[in-house]
Amino acid sequence: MPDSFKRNSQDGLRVIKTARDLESINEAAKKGFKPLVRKVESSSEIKSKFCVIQNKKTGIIEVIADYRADIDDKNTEFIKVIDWTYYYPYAFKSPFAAYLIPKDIHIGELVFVEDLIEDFVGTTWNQGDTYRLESSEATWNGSDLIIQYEKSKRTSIVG
Amino acid sequence: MKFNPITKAIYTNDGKFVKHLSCPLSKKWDSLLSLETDNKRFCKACDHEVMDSSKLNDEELAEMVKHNPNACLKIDINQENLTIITDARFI
Repeated sequence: MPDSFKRNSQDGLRVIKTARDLESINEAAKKGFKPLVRKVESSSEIKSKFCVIQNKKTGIIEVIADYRADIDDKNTEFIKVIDWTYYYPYAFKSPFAAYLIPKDIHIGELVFVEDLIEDFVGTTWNQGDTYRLESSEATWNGSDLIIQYEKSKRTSIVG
Repeated sequence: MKFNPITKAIYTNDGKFVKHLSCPLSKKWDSLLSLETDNKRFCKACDHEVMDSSKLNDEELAEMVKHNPNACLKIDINQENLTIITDARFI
């Protein structure tokens, strides 16, 4: 996107930032934000697969994620050392995080949450893998942000 | 073309990094303005075109981003000219 574009609004909505560690949460509190603290919890609905193959001669391994890159049984160069396995593909530095709520937010205000703490399925691959939704609109109800999430089988990403 | 859905990084098939997909507005392809050709759409928020990468080969993709590093792309993780890769750091 053009450098001149201001990354502080989405269709005129106020952007809610997320602080992902203790220091940045407290720093924001001192600046006047109300941190809305959440646990960082992984959802079993978010999953990605991998398989590890190893070169028989060199011992060098490769990680593959796409069935189309799989090796067949007759492959003489590589051997599968870890078969297809699903795992949670994200890592966060802190087990808690907080949405930074501005003090002048209004009840019923629609906002744009830039970095969701909760896990929602954002993208679905036809090989079974699912990836997190990164951002979403949300409504402030006076004490909590209600994420405006519509479950869908979204498969495309723009950027 | 290769794509890592976790980091949103695009590479050519020979592993050369092309760009990260990054849209702070989380725009959806369906919400973009249709144009006369079906290989691109128009984003009114940024006032420029978004190319459908399913219609591009590696050379076209690399050339386009080299020419304009801010070029916006749409990737469908199910598109046929794409191999999904993973970031072994998280395993």
